[in-house]
Amino acid sequence: MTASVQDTRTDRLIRFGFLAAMLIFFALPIVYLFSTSFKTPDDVLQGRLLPEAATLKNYPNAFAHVPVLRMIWNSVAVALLSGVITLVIAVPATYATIKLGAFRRTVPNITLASYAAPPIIALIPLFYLLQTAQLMDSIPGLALVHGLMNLPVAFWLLKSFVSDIPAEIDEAAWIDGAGYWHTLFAVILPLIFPGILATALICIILSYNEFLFASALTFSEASRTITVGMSLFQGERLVNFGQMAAASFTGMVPIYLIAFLFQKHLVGGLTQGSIK
Amino acid sequence: MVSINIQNLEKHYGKVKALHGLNLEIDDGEFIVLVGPSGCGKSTLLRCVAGLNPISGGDILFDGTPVGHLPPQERDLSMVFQNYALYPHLTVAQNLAFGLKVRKTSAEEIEKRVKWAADILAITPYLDRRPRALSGGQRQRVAMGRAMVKHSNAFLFDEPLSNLDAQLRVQMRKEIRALQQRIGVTSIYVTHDQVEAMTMGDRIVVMKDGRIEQVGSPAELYTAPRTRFVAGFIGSPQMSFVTAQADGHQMTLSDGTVLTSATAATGAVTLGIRPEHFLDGTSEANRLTLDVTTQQVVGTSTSYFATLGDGEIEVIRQGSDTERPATLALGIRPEHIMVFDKDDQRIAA
Repeated sequence: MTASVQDTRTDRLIRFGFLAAMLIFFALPIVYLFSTSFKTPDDVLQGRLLPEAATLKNYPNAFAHVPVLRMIWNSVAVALLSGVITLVIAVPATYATIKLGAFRRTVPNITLASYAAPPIIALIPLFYLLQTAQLMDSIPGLALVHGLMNLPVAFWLLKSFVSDIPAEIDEAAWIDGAGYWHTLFAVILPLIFPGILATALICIILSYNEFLFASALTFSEASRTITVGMSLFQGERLVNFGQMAAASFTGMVPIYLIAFLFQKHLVGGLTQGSIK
Repeated sequence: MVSINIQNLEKHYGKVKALHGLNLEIDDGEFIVLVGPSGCGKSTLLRCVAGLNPISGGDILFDGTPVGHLPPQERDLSMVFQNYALYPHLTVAQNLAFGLKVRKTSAEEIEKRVKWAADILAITPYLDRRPRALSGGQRQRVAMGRAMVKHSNAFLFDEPLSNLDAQLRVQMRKEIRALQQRIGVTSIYVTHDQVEAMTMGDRIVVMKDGRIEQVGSPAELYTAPRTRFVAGFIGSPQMSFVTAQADGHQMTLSDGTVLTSATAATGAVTLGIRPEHFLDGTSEANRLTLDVTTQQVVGTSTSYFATLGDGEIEVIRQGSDTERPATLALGIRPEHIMVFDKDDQRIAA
C-alpha cells in the first residue's frame, strides 16, 4: 500500500514538474512582454526580466504614436469577415468534395499544395487583383485575401468532420427528397457545427496574426491591422520596445479572449472530429 | 405503390462488373427479398433502384415509367438502412417529419401522419427523444416510421435487422412483414440471412456474383432449386453434398455405397440431401448405416455429422440427444436425393 502511495506521489510530482515546465515555456514570453511594457528604454537595454523602475507611460505613448485601438478594431473586423468568407466557401466545397465526390482526388491535393507554397508568390497577383476590384487598402479587400488564404486550412480541418458523418445520413436525406443544398443546411451543418466553430476560430486567429499581406495591401489608418501597427514602432535607428510591448500586449487581448472563451470548442473540435 | 421492372440492369465500377444485365419484375404490393452471400450484388441492385448508385446500362421502370436516370430525390421511395441512418440532431418526431417537410406537406397532415406511424409502431412515448437515447429496436422502429409516413412508391430495406440481437430480430421480422402487408406497399428487402428471406418474402431472388441465380417463392426455392448454389444457400441447416457416379437411377458413392434416386442421370454427378430428409430406416427408402463423428444439440433438435462417400453430411433429428451414438441407421427416400450435373445445374426428376 505504501509503495502504491509513493508511486502515486512520484507520478504526481513528475506530472506537476512537467506541467510547470510547460507553463513556464509557454507563459514566459507573455510575462516578458507584459513586463517589458512597463520598462524604461534603459531597463530594456539592460535585458532585465523585471523593470527596476516601472513606468506606465509606454501605454499612453504607444497609443499616441500609433492608433492602436483603431488597428485592433481593423484586425478584428478583417479576422471576422475573413472567417465568414472562408467558411462560406469551405463548407460547401468540403461537402461537395468529400460527400458528392466532386474532384475528390484533386481538390485535397491542390489545396495542400497551395498552402505549402510560400505566400509571397501570391502577393503581386493579389495586389493587382485588389486594385482592379477597387478593394485595395480596405477591410473587405484584406478580409477577402485572408479568407482565400485560409481556405486550405479550413478545408483540411472540415474534411475530417464531414468524412466522419456516415454516408447513409446524407443518403437518407436524399431519399427523403432533400436536394444537396437542403441536405447540407438541414442535416450536415448541424452535425459538423463543433468542427465549423473550431475551424472558424483557427481561421480568425490566423487572419488576426497575418502580417505579410496586411503590410503590402493596406496603407491607411482606416484599414491597417495591428500586426502592421507593431512594425511602425521600429524607427530608423532604434526600436521603442517598451511602447511596442504595450501595443503588442493590448493587441493580444482580443485573440486571447476569443481563445479563452471558446477553448472548449477549439480543443474539443480539433481533437474529436467525430459524430458520436 | 408501384410495380418495379428491372430491365437488363448493369452496373460497372471501372472494369469490374457488379451487376450483369439483370432482369426482374416486381408486382405492385409484393414483398421481394434479395438474398445472397457478401459481394453478390444485392445491395448494389437495391441502391441502383434507390438512385444512390448510378446505373451503367439497362433501365428501371416504375409502373412502366423509366426512372433509371432520376436522382434519388425524384424517385419517391422510402429506405431503411442497416445502421438506421436517423438524423442524430433531430428528435424522433422531427426525424419522422423530415421527408414530409421537404415535400412541403401541411403541418396538420404531418402531425396526423407522425401520430399514425408512432401509434402503429408504439413509439409515441419517444417522440421527443433524440435517436441516441433509444435502444436498437426502438431506432429500428423509428426508421420504419420514417419510411411509412411518406406514403411512397416503394420501401427499400438494406439489411435492416443485422445490428439487432437474435431475439429482437425474430420479433422485428414479424413486425416488418405485418406492417408491409397492412400498408400493402411494394418492398425490396436485402439480406444475407436465408432464414430472414424464407420467412419474409413473397418471392426470393437468390443472387451470386452479380447475377440472379433463381427467383421463386420460398417453397419453390426449397423444393426445386435450379442450381447447387441455390440448394445449398436456401434451407437451414444447409443441404449436404456428396459426389457420385450415376447410372440411371443408381448412384454409386466413392465408398461403394449405392443410393437410388428418383432422378436419372449418367456419369459424374453431385447428390444433395437435406439434413431433415433422413428418416429412421423405412422399407421404401435407401438404407444407410453411418458412423457419427460429431453431434450438436440445438434444443428442440439434434444435428449429427457423419461421413458418407467423400462428403460430410448432416442429419437432423427431433429432440435433445445428449449421448452421441456410434452409428445411425437411416433411410432416405429416392425423391429426396437431388442430383446436380457437372455444371452444378439440378437434373429434373
